[in-house]
Amino acid sequence: MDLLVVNDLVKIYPGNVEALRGISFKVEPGEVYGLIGPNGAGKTTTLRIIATILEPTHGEVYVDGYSVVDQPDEVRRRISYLPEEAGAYKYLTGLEFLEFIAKIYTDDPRLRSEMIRDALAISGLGERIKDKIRTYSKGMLRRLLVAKTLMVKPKLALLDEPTAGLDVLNAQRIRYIIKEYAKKHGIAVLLSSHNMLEVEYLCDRIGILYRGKLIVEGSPKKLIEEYKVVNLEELFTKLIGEQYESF
Amino acid sequence: MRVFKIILIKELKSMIRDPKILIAMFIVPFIIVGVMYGIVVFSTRQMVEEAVRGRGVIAIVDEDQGYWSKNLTEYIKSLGFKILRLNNTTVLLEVLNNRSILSAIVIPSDFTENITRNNTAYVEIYTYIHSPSMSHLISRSKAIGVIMSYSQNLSETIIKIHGLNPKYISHPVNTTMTVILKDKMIHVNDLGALIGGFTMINIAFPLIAFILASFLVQLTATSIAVEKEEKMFETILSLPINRLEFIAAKIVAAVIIGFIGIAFYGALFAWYFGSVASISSSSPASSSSFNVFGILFDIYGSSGLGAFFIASIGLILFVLGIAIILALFVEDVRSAQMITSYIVMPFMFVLVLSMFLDITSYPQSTRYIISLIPFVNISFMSTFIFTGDQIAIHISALSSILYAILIMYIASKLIGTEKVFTLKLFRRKKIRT
Repeated sequence: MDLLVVNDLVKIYPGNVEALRGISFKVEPGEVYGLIGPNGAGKTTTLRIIATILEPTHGEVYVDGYSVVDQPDEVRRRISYLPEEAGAYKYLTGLEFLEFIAKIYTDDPRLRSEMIRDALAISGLGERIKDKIRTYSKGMLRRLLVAKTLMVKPKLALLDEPTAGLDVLNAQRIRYIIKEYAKKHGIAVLLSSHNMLEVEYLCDRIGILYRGKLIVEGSPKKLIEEYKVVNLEELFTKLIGEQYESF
Repeated sequence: MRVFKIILIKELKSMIRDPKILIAMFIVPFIIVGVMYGIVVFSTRQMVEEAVRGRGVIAIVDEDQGYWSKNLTEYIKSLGFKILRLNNTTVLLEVLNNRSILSAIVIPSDFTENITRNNTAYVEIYTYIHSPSMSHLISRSKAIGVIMSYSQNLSETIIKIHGLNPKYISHPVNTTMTVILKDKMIHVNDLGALIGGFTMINIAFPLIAFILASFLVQLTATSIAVEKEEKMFETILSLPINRLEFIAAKIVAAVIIGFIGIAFYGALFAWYFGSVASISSSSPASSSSFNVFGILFDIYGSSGLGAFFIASIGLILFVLGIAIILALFVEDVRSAQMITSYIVMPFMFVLVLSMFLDITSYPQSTRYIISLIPFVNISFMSTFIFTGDQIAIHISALSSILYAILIMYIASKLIGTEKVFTLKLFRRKKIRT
């Protein structure tokens, strides 16, 4: 059974701005699926609809069989979302912030301890976890946020540009964590990214979004072979480069 | 309830640790009141102590050399002043040029004779003002105080010598007063205290409700805006929490901090005004003031005050509802604080207006309309209660609660939709797709 089903999803913002024009895709349990596309393609809107923040204008989205429109509370129990421009409560310590999130997901102290232990390992913040978040660097904050997203072991993790704005070392570390943790705990991941290297490394399958439409979908390896290109970057340029320049 | 508790604890932690809240609510008022105390209370106390203390030198030119002039000199000495005796007034200017000489008193040659013959006696006081400072001026007025005090003593002595009652002589005609309030005849000794009591109920109570509402509105709006400023709002909306529970926890946290703030302010100002009063008055707050409040509470009645309490709760919830709705649509703390001032300002205006308007002579229909208007009805509620206008009282209390329920319902509906995320006030951000 597919964990995520997106069927003919349309989103029109006030002012008749068409963000999504009938996209459909599925994500299986434990699969890492990447949404790639230029700015304004509809990646963030898709993630926000699945995260129950925005409402679809048309179409259906099911997470683990629950509709994001009719059963948003059930959906929220099964997902964990990391927005691109996420922050944290700067007057709490990293540990207090993780405890706050863990307490929301479970009232079982044993499970909470397990979550915190996992988060400490994921974030790699060591003793700095006891410091106030306002003292963290951008990389440390992002690692903390990735940790809070994955530690709850959701059925579906939604990661919007998980390594945006990070230096090479921090980005590499986060990519590794996502891949390992998803595999270890069978977490399905839907991520959006501009970084083709990242997508190629992380994703089992990808979907290329352009102007609110899913123009191609498949495994990175299969798509590279099919379109006779060297890598995903070349595929991306080949598929939408010319259209994008004239846009 | 579990999630409510988690969010409440998190909110309290964040608010207590947030220097903006700590500075605005506690540290700044504490410093201001502290400085006010330092300047006003301490210096006033110093000046008052200085004024009564018999310290310094007073020069005396005794041209009388009679019984009463010697009696006056001894009296001044008994107060602790040093006496510098001068033979004549020719050196007066030169002596007074010395800053340590407070004043010079010239007792004329007919001083004793005038007192003995029951005529008013005069003394001439000379003083040199070297500085316009308050403490210097007070020190230069000591001699007048001394003569006034001597004159009072002398007056009582003379009255006793003539076998008269000093109280009768000083106040041969006095008054007692009866005030009719809502068909009750009440004897009052001090009309000023009664006026003060009415002022308290008409102005201070709505003012307390206003200050509390301001606090709560500011704190709630700020705590919601903080979610956006710290970029947690999107995450919060995707968490498995009830959004209404989330907002309710924020309100309760604001109420807790708001009441602590009010208690802090109350204690600070009670201490401050208590200190000032204890300096300017030798007696503590008179028991007649408490009697006046007892009378007023009796007149307003528990049902009237209960209705006022219900209306105040309604008003606070109403204002909080507006604050929540507006705060949901702003992007940062500064905008949230700006819009809350828009809510608070009209209330302040109405509050001031109600001090000068007497609506008792207005037609009944106008009073009913007033009792339906939020903010306005609470400002005039004490008048409705005083005049026994039961319909206006009930309209005010019920409408306040209804407005609160309505605005909270609108807020809850908005929170449940995507508008909470997409609608922006002041600044429309480009929608990211």
